[in-house]
Formats: sequence, structure tokens, C-alpha cells
Amino acid sequence: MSNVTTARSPSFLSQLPFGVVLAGVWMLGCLSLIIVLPLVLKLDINAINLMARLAPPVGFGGTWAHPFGTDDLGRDVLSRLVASLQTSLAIALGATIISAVIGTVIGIIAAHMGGWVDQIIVGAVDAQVSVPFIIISLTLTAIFGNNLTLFIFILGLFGWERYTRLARAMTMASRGRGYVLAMTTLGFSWPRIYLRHVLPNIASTLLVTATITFPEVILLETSLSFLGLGIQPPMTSLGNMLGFGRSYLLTGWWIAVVPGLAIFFCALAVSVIGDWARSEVGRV
Amino acid sequence: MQLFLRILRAVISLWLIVTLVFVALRATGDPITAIFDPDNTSQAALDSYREQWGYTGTVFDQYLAYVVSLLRGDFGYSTMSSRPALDVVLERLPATMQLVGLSAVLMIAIGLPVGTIAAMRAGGPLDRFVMSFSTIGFALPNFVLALGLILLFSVSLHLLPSNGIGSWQHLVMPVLTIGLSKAAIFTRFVRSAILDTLGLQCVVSARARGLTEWQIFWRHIITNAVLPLVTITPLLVGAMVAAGAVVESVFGWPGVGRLIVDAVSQRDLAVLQMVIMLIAVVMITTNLIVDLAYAKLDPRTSAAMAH
Repeated sequence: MSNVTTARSPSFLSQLPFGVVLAGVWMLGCLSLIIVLPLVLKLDINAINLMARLAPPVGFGGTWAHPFGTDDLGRDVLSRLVASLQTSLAIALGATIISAVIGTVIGIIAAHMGGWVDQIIVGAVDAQVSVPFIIISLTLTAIFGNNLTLFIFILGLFGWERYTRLARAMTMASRGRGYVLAMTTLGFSWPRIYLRHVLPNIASTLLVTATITFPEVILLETSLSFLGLGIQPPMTSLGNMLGFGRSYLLTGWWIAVVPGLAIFFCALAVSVIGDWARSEVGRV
Repeated sequence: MQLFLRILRAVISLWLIVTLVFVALRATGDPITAIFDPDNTSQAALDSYREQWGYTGTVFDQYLAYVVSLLRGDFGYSTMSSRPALDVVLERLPATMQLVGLSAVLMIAIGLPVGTIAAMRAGGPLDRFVMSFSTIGFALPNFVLALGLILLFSVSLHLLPSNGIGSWQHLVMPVLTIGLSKAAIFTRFVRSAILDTLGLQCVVSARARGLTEWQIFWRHIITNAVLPLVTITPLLVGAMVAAGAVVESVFGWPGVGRLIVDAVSQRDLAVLQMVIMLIAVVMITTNLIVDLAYAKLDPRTSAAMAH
């Protein structure tokens, strides 16, 4: 065991597959872009400059004043892209955390209570699997109207059943383990055993599930915003930008292509990292 | 007995969904004041609508009335077009079925051979290429792919119409969008299903008996790999219908998917409820059929149940 660690730690980076390194670099790049750029440049996503309408990006006849060009109102595409990345990534992260917490708690409750509570939870998981989530989120949006907090919570329901299934199965398995039996005998309370001892043992699997779910949440948020049913102006998200740029494919393709590529590369990078993490955890 | 239990489970799932829809619809408050402006409508009119649509009595009474009306085939009226919600949804169904059917054909036509070849040469250059392609397909959202196709085929090459319905040219891009994106996922499933069978004893012994690769493939590999593939069919059908919401909106295809999006922006709850129930019925029925087919395809499962 010590053998393995010493052999791995010095050359950890060189052991990573090339694609994973690339994905990591892309995500770090995006993160630093959305943190650093607003500090360095004064970005105003709603600044309208009618003199510079539909300016093409650099390399296609544009200037460095607007590296990714401008839209039909002369708003800088780069500024909007940075703001959109902030919104989309923050929302996806928030929603992933919400669904991981809700799903895990429900799963542990199902395993702990057993009986009819367990049956109902398993039934709910089955029902959730049988209806595509985008339909559910669209319906909830129609019923409860559209506001940001609600939208994040609706997205936060996505994938709860995956965590529930995993947490339920792994908690059930762990109850037969020696350490849980020992603590039960010693009289520790159940919440304490689950939170302090069972959860750390199942956390890595749940974390991998979260990494795999994260790009799907990005795609769900961008899909809904693309349809005009997610993030509303004056806020902007990647899907929002793309949905708006869709009307300008003939005159300003970059308005749609820039956010489109950003969505694609972010989702790709996170799923490459997620696939890698899954195979690593599977190997341990 | 088994059949009865399975049908019972399907009915329970359906009842659960109906109940959840009822709870969600009532959670917004008084449905009558949501439809009519209480300031401009007389109290008598509100009461008579309440009477007519079964919004009287306790919540439990309303729930019973709701379930009874559903069982009678009364799904309410669309507020967008003031016609029965059932008719509004059913007239959109053929367009969606055409799209989903053709996309499924494309998905299978790509996924089955490519996944099989990748599995037979697992770890090889072709396999790695296919897997990378599948990862890319998974991360490429439908609307980005759709807009990319429009940029290529409509804006640059002027080959295909970007919007509408009517000729086979209108079908090409929507079918490509859904079919290709689902093929990326399906190929992966085929590959892992075939890989799982390669290690089976019957395959190893067939090889030892000197059967040709061709014979082994058709007699042992395909017959075993079909089972897991049948299991994921309902999930893929559901995913295609869901993808329709975005793709039909982009290409102006008048199917159920676009109807959903329109119904959400118009807040037409009767139509939405109808669509959800339709999708739930389709998914639950497919699941039931798959369960039953499974017993036929794999004698072990029915034998195990007999014990």
C-alpha cells in the first residue's frame, strides 16, 4: 500500500490521461476567466453601443475592442459570455449540491426506516425514472411561474433519485458492517452514526455521481434558458445567449456559436473528468 | 400471478403520477381565480364555473371528482385554443411519432454495428475513436447540434429548409439531431452489452468447438446481448420525446414537444397535464412490455419466478 503511494505521488500529473489534463485546464481556464476578467476589465453586459452593432470577432474582420464581436444591440459578446458562464456554472453547482443533499438524506432515511417508508421512496424513485426530467421541470415552471430561486430549486430536483438509490443501497450494506454494529452496541445515536461514520464511507461514490450529474444539469439549465423558460433577461445565461443568437444565424453567427461552443466544451470537460473519476473509484 | 402483479405495479405508478399532478395543480391556489380575473367576474359566475368543473367541497372531494373525470376520459379544456386538451395533444402526436420513429431507426442503424465492432476490437484504435465520439455526443446539447446543422445545411450550403414540415427535406435535420445524439449513448450501451457476453462460458466453449466468428456472433453473442439492450429501450424512448421539446422548437416541427413549450409559456395547465399523463402511460406501458418480453427472451427469469 505504501509502495503504491510513493510510486504514484511524484508523477501524479504525468499519470493522468491527456484528455483529463486538457479537461482540467479548460475548466480552470473558465473559472479564472469568470473570476479575473470582471476584476481587470469593466464589463457591462447591458451596455448598448448602436455604432458597433453586429461587429464580427477578431480574425473575421473584427477588432480587439470586441474580441468575440457584438450582438445586434452592440453589446460585447465576451462580456456577456463571462456573465453567462458565471450564471450557468453557479446555478449548475447550486442545483447539483441541492439534489445531492436531498437525494442522500432520502436514501439514508429509506434504508434506516425500512418498511412502508422504504417502499414509498422506492416507488417514488421508479416514478421519477419513468418520466423525463425536462418535462417535469417544464411543468413545474408552468405551474409556479418563473423566478430565479424557484428555478434553482427545480433544477435541484434533477437526479435526486440517483443519490437516493446509491445512498439507500450503500447504507443498507454498511449496517451489517462491524463498525456500525459496534457503535450501535455502544449506544451512539443513529444520526451521529450516519453523519459521522457511514456518510464519509459512501461519500466518494456520491461525489463521482455528482461529477457525472453536473454536466447534465448544465445542459438542462441551458436547454430551458434556450427555450426562454429559464433565466430571464436582464440576467443572462449560456442557453439564453444561444436562444437569442438563434435569430441572427444569417447576419451574426458568432452570437450563437460562441456560447454554443462554451456550453459544449464545459459539458465535455466535466464529463471527461467524471468518467475518469468513476473509473478511478471503481479501481480502488 | 406474476403478470397480475406487474400490471398492478404499473397501475400504481400511474396513480402516483396522477396524484402528484393533482397536488401540483392545486398547490398554486384556487384554480378558478387563476383562470378568471376575480375583479371582473361576478361571484355567481365564479361559483357556477366552480360547480361545473368540480372545484367544490373538500380537497378530498375534488380529488375524487378529478380521478373520476380522468377515468371518464375528460381531461379538461385547453386555455390556448378552448378545445378539449385530449384533441389538442392527439393531433400533434403523428408528427412526433414520425420524428421519434425515424430517429430511433437512425440510432439503431448507427449504434448496433458501430457498438458491436468497437466491442469486438475493444481497446483498439477504432474502439477508442468510437468512445471519444460517444463522449462528445453526450456533451453536445441538442440545440447546439441543431444550430450547427442549420448553419451548415441551410445558411452555408442552402440545401435544406431550416423550419417547418411538409417534405422529406424538412425531416432530415431534426432526425439527424435526435438520432445522432441518441446514437452516441446507444453505441456505448451496445458496446458494453457485447463486451459482457464475450466472457460468457457459451462463447468461450463455442470458440473451443471451432465455430466460426460469424456463427458465434449470431448464435451466442447477439442472443445474450439483446437482453440488456431491451431493458434500456423505454428510457431511450422517453429521452427522445424529451429531446423533442427542444428540437421541435428549433426546427418549427409541429409535434408534442413544441406543444409542451407553447403550453408552458401560455401556462396551459390542462394541455400540460394531458401531455404528462400521455408520456407516463407510454413509458409505463413500454416498461410493462419490456418486462414481459424479458421473460420470453430469457427463460431463466420466468423459471426463477416459478420457484
